[in-house]
Amino acid sequence: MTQPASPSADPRPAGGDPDPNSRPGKRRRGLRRLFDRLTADPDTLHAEMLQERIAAEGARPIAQCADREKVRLIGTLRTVTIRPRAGVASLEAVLWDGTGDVAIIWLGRREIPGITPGRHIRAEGRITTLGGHRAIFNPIYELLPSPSD
Amino acid sequence: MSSTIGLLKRVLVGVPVRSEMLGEATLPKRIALPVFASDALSSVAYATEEILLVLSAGGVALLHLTWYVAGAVGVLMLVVVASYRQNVHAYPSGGGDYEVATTNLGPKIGLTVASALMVDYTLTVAVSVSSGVANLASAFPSLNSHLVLISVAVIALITLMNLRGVRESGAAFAIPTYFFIASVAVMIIWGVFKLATGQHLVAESANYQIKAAGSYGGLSLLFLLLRAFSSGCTALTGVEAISNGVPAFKPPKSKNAATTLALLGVIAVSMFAGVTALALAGHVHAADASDLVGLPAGNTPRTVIAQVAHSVFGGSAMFFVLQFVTALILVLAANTAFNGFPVLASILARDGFMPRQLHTRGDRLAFSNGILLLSGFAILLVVAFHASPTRLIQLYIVGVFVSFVCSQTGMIRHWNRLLPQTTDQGRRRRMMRSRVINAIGAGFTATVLVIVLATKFTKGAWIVVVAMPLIWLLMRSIRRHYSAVAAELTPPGAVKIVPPSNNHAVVLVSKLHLPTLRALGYAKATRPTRLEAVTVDLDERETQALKAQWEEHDIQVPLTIIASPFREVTRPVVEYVKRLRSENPNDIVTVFIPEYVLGHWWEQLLHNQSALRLKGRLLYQRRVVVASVPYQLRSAGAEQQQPRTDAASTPASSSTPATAPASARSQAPASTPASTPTPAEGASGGSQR
Repeated sequence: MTQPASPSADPRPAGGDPDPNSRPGKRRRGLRRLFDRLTADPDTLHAEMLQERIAAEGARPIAQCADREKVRLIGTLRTVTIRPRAGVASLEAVLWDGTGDVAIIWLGRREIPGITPGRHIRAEGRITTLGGHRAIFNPIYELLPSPSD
Repeated sequence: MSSTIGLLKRVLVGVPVRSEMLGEATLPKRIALPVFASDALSSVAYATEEILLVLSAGGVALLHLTWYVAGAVGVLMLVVVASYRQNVHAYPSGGGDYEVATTNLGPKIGLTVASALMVDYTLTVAVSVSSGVANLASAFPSLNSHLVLISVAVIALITLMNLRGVRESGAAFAIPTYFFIASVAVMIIWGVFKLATGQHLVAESANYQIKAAGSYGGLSLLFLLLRAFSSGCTALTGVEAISNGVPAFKPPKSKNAATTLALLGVIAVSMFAGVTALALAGHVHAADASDLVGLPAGNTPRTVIAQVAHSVFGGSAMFFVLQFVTALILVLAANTAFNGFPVLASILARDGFMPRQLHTRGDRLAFSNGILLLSGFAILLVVAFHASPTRLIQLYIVGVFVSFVCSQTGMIRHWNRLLPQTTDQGRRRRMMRSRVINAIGAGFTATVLVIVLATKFTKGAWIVVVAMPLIWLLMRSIRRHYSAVAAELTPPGAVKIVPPSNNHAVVLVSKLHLPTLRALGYAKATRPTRLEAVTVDLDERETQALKAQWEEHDIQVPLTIIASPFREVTRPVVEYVKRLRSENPNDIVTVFIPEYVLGHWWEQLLHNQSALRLKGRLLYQRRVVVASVPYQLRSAGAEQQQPRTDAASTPASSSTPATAPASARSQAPASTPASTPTPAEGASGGSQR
């Protein structure tokens, strides 16, 4: 699967993004920035860090993805859900890239080594909307080192 | 009684009293007089002294003017008593000045009266107790160095008595009050007798000279006289107590209350006149210790009533009796404020001007919160003014006169309103007469209020002048808050109960233990649209262990693991819940929090309070319900309850698979054999995802 989003696309997230924790794309400088960093909650800082990585890796911010579009996303797994054995085998995780989140669903698997909460991954697949949330089924994924490594 | 604090309270305050015991005990006149009059009568103990103290600024020469000042105070007293007799007839419900002013002059003036009265009730406590302790110290001079401490202790004692609910016990009031009246009467008669038989009364301060603070003549003399007069007006406080207490009288209530008021006026004026006369005859020279020439260094001058008593009785037992009774009645006077303030506060709370808590009765049917509030402020005043009656009196009576003026003006309005509706000639004449009396009362009290404000403003009355509007504003904003809340809570038009279309249940899990299982079982019993368990990944190994257990016991609930890069619990969960509920405005998310309940507070220290914090945060999320599922540990008295609670949770699933319980039970603590935690995981309903 090839990635349609070109690396030259504007890597900064657009304004009006749905996640209240992520900062709009304005960059502040100097003391103001320092002050913001001191007063911001850790999630906001985390979001900023993730957004910087989107740019570096040439991925698409989730907030800018349109439905039924093939996208390459990069972010951290916020949650991982294990289903009971009785039901349909699937593994669901929520990927967050600082601009929004998307449910990633692997059908037929109950567990995938390495897919754990907090993990950084790159995922490529067709994005859709499921019950009001963005979702990708069975993406190609790649485990990444965490940004601090 | 489970806790030490509860035990302490039980010992101090007593066994709770049932609500039915509230029934108003009605009082005959002979008991009502001491109950309501101790405040007004006790002023005799310091009113004369305050007049003398002010006049002493002009040196001994001015003391003969005391007569005129005292005479004016006496006349004023009679006028106020006469005016209040009209109030008692017109408003027998016990609302007092607040009710009169609110009904006739509107709620704003009513509030003014209320704030004035509250300030004055507080000052009544402070002044009376300080003065009582000062009198005690006059009998036992060694107490002089501990006045503040003793005063605070006395206030604490009165508070405790009131919390126990002795407010209506008539005998406790009747005996000391009548004893006081009798003692003062004996003193006056004995003193007059001595004078009549040619003996001389010589007060111990008769030979002291007073350093005149300046020479007074013309206008400044008039000002000084007015100031002495306004200090003497302290004798009037407490007159309004009867008008607040009309419901407590035996029927015919109004008539009895009016008679008692008249009695009060006569007794108070004659006692005041007698003490003042004896003080003048004995040449009592009262002034600040620093201004008295001839006072042995380091001594505190005795109170005026003590000096009078000493000059009449010498050092005999009767002197000590009088001092003791004086101190006692002053304490009782403070106690009348403890009757008035909590009732006023509860009426205000009922009307939404004070916090609701002031309207609830405590264990002993007393308005405990009001009592505590009053005693707190009174102690503050006593400490701030070093228990000096003279300094406290500068703040006093502004409030009383504000409420006098408002209520008398209100009464004029009252008669004006009723007169056009009345045709009966006899009643009309009586109303006209009442109106005249109230008009005179209003005129007098308004004049006095102006005098009091003008003469005392710089001496400390400004504190009251500042405090009253502040209290007024505070009460207004409390009312505004209550109204705003009520308006927001009122359903619009047609009342409909709208059930949420979806209920997403989230059970918070940290370990797979009994409380968790109970919470899972309970969550299932609520039949949510979707059910999932959620855990926060704080520790990699623990999360893995939980996951393994989940798999091993094959729990039929999906388990979501939330990443927490900053090792927090609260925020990740809140963020997760926010994401869940963002789908549909009519959805609801229920967060089930299993909690084990500990029996002792020290045990709580060993467990972190993350559940509490989380609950606090989730409360602010819209469309999120927090369900706390308690699990009582044996230290919390779970032995007795265990079987029943478990029986209650069992119906959650009747179809328990045979395999699951065995494995779960092997993990359960062996000491809780009664608990069968498995129902939670046993139900085959699973999640409907």
